Amino acid sequence: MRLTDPSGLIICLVTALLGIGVLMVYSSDWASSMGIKGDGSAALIRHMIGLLIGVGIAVGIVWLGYWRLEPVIIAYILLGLAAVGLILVLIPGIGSIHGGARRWIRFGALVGFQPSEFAKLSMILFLASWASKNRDRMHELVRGFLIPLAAVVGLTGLTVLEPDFGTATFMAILGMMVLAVAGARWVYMAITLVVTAPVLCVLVYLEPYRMKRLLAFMDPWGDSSGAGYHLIQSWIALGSGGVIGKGLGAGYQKLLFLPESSGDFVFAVLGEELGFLGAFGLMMIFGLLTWQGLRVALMAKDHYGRVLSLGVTFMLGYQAAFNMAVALGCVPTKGIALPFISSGGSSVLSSLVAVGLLLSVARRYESEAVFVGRPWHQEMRGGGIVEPRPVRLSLGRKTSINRKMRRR
Amino acid sequence: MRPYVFVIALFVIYLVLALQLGRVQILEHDKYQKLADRQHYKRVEIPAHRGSILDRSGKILAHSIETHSIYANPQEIEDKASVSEKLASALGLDVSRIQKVLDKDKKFVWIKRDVGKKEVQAVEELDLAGVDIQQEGRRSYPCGKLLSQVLGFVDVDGKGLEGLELAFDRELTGRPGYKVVNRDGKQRVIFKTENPCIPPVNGDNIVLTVDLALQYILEEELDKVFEHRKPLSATAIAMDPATGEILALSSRPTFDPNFFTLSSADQRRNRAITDSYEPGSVIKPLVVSGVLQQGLISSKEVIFCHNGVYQIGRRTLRDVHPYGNLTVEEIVVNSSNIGMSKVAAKSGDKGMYEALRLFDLGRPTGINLPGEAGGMLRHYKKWTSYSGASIAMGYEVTATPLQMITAYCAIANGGTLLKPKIITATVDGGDGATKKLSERAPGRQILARDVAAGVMTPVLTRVVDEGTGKSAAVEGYKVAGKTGTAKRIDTTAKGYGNAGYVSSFIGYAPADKPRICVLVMVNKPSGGAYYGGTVAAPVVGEILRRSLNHMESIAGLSDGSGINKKTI
Repeated sequence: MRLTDPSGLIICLVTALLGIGVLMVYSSDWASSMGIKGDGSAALIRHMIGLLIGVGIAVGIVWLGYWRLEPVIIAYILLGLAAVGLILVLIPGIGSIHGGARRWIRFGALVGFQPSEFAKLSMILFLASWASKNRDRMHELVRGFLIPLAAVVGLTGLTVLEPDFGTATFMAILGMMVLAVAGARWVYMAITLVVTAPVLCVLVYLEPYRMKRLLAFMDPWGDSSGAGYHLIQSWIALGSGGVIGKGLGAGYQKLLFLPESSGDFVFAVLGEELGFLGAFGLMMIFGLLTWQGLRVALMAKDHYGRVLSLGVTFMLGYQAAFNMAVALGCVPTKGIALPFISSGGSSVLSSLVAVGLLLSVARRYESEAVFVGRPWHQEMRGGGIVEPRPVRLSLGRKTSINRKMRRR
Repeated sequence: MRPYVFVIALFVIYLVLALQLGRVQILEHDKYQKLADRQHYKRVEIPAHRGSILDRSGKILAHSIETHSIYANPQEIEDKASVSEKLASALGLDVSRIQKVLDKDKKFVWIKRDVGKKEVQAVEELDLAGVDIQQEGRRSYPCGKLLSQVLGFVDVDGKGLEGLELAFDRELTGRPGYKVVNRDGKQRVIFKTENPCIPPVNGDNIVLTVDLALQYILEEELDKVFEHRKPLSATAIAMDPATGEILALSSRPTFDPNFFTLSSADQRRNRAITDSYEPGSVIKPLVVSGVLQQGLISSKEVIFCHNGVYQIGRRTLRDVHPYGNLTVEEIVVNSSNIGMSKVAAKSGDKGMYEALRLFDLGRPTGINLPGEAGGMLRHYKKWTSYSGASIAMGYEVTATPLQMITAYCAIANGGTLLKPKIITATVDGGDGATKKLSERAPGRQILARDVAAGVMTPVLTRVVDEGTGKSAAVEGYKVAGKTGTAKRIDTTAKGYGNAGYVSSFIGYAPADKPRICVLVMVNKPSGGAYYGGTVAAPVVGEILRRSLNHMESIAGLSDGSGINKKTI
């Protein structure tokens, strides 16, 4: 492994993100925890627990190899577990209420678990597995689209019940993207979009608080102390940070002005303390991470690995964008965590599992490349070097990656 | 191809977010910085110490004592019931009353003002969110009723409402300072940093011309006459004729500014400047000196006084004692109404009007006290044929006691009309620098020395020696003065029925080199006696005697040899 290899870069980028995350959680939650509970380290401890477990799982995945998850039976089990988790969280006494929604299963005061985070990963793993198994039939309506869509809709629907509209929306979009790269036809997805748009509108309209949030998003200043409060506080944090920021730990908005300063709005705290340079730098890191994820996917020669690495890459990249967009007021306020950085434990854990899957894919093909001296696509371009290990190349015809590879 | 679509789409999204980030963080930085400052920092006022009011020798007449008040921000209190209960037991208040105050939709309510140290400690120990203690100044008047109408008082917030407290409110108040405290999202003050802090500029101290010892004497004598004669009201003023400084001033009924809420408007009224009366005979020396000054008549001119009964038009004038031929001087000494009416006739309306205008009657003196009245002196063109005679006897013209004593001081000091002063200096609350106020207003020479010192003072001395003002005499001093007994206008019936009298006396001593001029005016004395010579003159005499004794002893004390003489 070299530093310029995707896995080396990914490890560097993720390490940087985890470091920033620990700093921001410590910085932003210290004051509010002090004010409310008198114990400033609770959030940090929870974050560290999630982080360590996440690193452990990630190392385990790389160690064992992602392909051990490919059998559809395992995908079904994971899907089932996700569904059970999402159902359990709805049961009073098991799911704990936070901010008006049951999103957490708590074990004691410190340890908690958000089933929807697990559900996202399960969904990607299932779709990848399904797409791999049916790689020649992904253009079909039922096998290539409706059946995997049913899994997406099922998980999304359970998440809506929590209610966690934001995560559900994100999961639906993510599922569609994974289906798209897995080879489903654009037409089906376009039709689905046309059909679901009115349903979304009705869902928003039926819940007064969603409607209120939407209105506050359109005109936050109209209700600056009510529904628009969160967004305005986020803008104040970012805006007062300026170009270079107030300095690490010197942010003021975390002193109970920002809601969830270490969670959903940690980006605002970061923007306040580290300024435009810091916030833009964070965007760059996520951008680079996405790019490396793409490199891994292009490297992968098995359909499962390719769809899986694209799925987790989209999950991390788009979720970061979604979270930042919320803090910047570009989309209505939703509880979407910033991968690697938001406190809580579940988020950093699932992000690290995602990275573990990505690294596992990268390691598999990088090691082959190292064996022959150069990454495989360069070898292809240079021509002449025989693949060291048989990899199934007869993939589904519709997948874009195959087409590209064939062109070369 | 498909992965590229989504990755490029994501990069486009990042680009849009970066642009929005730049807009919020760079372009709109100033706007959000301002909003941030507004919610992060709070200016907390540091009240300035209200200045004191001192007498001419620095004795305290009014000052502010540090005290504490309990206030609350109802919006920060979550459990109002338990907070009210705790506060009620700590402060000894009614629970339901506190609850009611806390239920108001306000950000600031007082729970209790001016609380003791124990209560402050009790509230501190409770340490309730949203309840706080504010340091305040409570006004205290250590001399109680003394000089109360001049001093006035302040409201519970320390704002001057009447008297000097009102007139010099700006100077006394000073400028509050402020400090900046940090607040968190729940409006709690969280920590103090090296934030800008502007210390308050304390209010100025005000040094009065009043001499507390003389004030005490004057009020004591005023109390006696108020008790004895049971009048509607009474006023006394002592003034230094050489400078126009008010040495003492008071009215009855009076009040204690420490408990001003218990007083009536009637008690709080500073009658010496707010009420104008028809002065009666005390105006005669002013009229005579005015017409003498104009050369309209000579002091030795003999006038026939018709033996006590004289008919002008349809009116009949009477003197108390019948007189035949009197010189102009003797007319004043004997206070002959008939004589005065003939002086008026000789002087003409214009002469009479000008005579009184010399003394600025009909115009406020401009003293630094709120609510001064100017009296009334109509222009002579609006006079009737009787007006000249009436005015010569002190009717159809009104003046405040302050205007009258100011005019007498002009006679006493040899002809200079001074502006009455109540304040000598202000002491800056910031740097302690003393600033003299109007270094002895120049005054206006209105009478020639010959008229004032040459004619009028001997005439007024004769009033006390042999005329109506004998009871104002002080042993060892030559006293000059004039009595006045004016019928009060009956406001129910028209004209001067049986509404009683205003008895007054204005006198000064020593006559040739006056050090103090005293006015006493008793409004509607009851119990028979009503002549100024009987009711007011003895009071003036007593005030003069005691004041002069006091001044002598002070002078003796300050003069080295005097100490031995007095103490041994």
